[in-house]
Amino acid sequence: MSDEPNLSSPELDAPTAPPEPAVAVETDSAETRTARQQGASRKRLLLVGLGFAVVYAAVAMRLFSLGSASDEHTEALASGQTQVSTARPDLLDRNGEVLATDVKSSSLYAEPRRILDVEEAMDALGSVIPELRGDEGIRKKLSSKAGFVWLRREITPEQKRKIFRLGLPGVGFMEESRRFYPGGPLAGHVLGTVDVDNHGILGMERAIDRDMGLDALHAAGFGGEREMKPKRLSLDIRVQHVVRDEMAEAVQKFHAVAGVGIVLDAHTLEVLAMVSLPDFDPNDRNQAFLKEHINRATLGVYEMGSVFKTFNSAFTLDSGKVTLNDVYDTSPLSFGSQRITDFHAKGRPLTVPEIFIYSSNVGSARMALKVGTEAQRAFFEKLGFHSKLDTELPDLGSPLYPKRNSDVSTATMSFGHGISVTPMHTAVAGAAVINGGLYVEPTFYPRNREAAEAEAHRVLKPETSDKMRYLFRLNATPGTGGSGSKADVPGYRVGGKTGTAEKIEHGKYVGNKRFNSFLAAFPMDDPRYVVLTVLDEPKAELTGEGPATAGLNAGAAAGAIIRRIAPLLGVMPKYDLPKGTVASN
Amino acid sequence: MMRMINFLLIALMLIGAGVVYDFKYEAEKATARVAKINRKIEAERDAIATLKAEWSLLNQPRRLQELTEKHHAYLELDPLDPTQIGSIDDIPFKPAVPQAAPGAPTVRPNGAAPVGAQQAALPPKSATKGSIKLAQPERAVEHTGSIGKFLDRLPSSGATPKTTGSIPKSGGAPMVLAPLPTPLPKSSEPSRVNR
Repeated sequence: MSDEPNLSSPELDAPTAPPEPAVAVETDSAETRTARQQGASRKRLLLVGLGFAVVYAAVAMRLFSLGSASDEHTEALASGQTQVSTARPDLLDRNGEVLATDVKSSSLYAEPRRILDVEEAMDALGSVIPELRGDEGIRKKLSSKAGFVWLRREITPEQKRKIFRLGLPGVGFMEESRRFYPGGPLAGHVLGTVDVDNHGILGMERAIDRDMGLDALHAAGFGGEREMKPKRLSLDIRVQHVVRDEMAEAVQKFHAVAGVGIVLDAHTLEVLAMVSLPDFDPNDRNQAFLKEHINRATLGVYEMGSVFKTFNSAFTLDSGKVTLNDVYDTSPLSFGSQRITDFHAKGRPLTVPEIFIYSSNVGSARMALKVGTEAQRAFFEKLGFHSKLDTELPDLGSPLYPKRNSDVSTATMSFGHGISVTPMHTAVAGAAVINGGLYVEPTFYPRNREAAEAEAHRVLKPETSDKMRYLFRLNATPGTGGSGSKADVPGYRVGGKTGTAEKIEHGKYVGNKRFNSFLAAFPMDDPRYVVLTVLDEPKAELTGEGPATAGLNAGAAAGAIIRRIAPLLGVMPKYDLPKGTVASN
Repeated sequence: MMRMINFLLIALMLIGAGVVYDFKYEAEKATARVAKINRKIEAERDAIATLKAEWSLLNQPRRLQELTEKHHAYLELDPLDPTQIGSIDDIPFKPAVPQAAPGAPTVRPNGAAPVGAQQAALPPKSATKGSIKLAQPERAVEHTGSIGKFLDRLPSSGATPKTTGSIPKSGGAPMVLAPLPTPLPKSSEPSRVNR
């Protein structure tokens, strides 16, 4: 207190200073009197000044405290905002149709510190959302001293309206992006799905997070950002629908356990459609991880069976040691205790095209053995049968193949046993065989032909590819006795190869459990699209013609798919094509 | 003099204060408006996103297929058959025909000419006249059903809609492949088909 006058006096003196000299010169008595007066007024001034100083200091301190103290409310909101769902780019098909988009939904949160009466809040909320009634977890959350808690994510607009009208203090809504898949299960395995925070957890959603670094972006707190450029995929929603529709029908008709349908562009290797049945609806993310919903097209590996005769014929013809006119003995082949026999035994030597169309195991094995184990292994490696596919989708299966070469494995692999690959591997290799001999990794993003050719590597001579086209077409031409004739669609020049593999159960091949596939391409004079259909354990139709072989079910399904997608893809039907135009041998 | 200046300054100050107050007020109003518009934009964007989602939901191929199957009796929409596809080169040129009687009305080729008269007037042989044949479907495809229905829905005003399916004559109207919805003014004479 004592030093304060010293502090404030110079300031307070200043205004009163000017009259001082004038008074001072008059008289001594007056001087002393004024001095006394001056002393008194100075004291008063000091007092007033002090009063003001205290008031101003109080105001300043309050201001400072208000300015520096963080606001609980905004802090709580900010912490909620970072948890809120990330915005994701829309996913479009190749024609710009929406496959996945973000829609707004509201989530309910509470700021427990601002809640006045927990019981009242619980009752009120329970009247709108019955599940919240008596929920001890929620009660605990509300009673806590936390700044921000989620009560319920993704509530309906109706619930939002009702809760809003309750007017509860400390309870609010936050707008979140919610992923919506208008197609439902249409392309579940390609698109994958997202978790509640809108992070991709499966399929292309996962791939996009990985590629765009959305995870890192979100962690850095840039989650709510708008205006993300939509991502275009290579899928064609119409083709995808047709494939799913026809495969679902085939699975139902033949009581199959599962079905796979794949359509690829033969040159760019864009995936136009990929279906694996049973599938799931990505809108319901709980379905996605059920065991029966695994992606059989790219994750499941299977012994593909006779479809592999395509690759066997391709590499043997490519080696030059086998020509289309060669004849091979088809009497059963023995390796020690193992015998290789034919399913449709003809009982006579067959030419190479006959081995292909009658699907002779023995003939294929003899062709492979003539060219050699090493050549087969090298060719299969070039076709990607020894490694995972290199594509965007995260769920990819590793093929199973014998680590050591032997004549038996060469013989069995020639007709697709003893080696397991994914259906996608088969379709991609099939594209390489008929597109002129270029192997390209498949993609789920649009790609043009130049880009694809830049990445391609040659696995076959173009002439060999021509011969394979001839064999494909021959096999699917009605009247030749080819196993794929059911797949033919007049006008669209379909070619294909059937595969009926017996499934292994408890280490033995079981005759009545089959894994049927059909590898097709069209139009065969200039193949543009590859179609692969797979049916797992189909049963023979009750009114059917004979056993459940691939030509009758998988082949028919492929034909039905081609009949519907060819006009969509702009393939013109032609009728006047002579039967053997593509034969060049 | 001093007073004048003082008054002037006071007036200026008042005006200045008023103007500043007005500016501030305006700015506040503008800020509020910007915020409001931003909220509206946000709401519109969300609405657009929702509508887009709904549009694609309604346009799902599966839904469309179900609808066409359900209403097949009325729509008569079937999957496309390969035999129904052709290019413009597959359409035969109109064979040279001797000029009709000079008094006859404008030449009208076959097409969707008078609905009633068409069936009677169209000779069946015209289908085989062209030099190039379209792929022959195994079964006869009823092509006239839908177009007939389409014509039924057109406003009927006596005259019949005109369809030109041939190479236009020099100086004539440009080729129109679709039936014109508005009937052209025509002579009242009954029209004739010249094949």
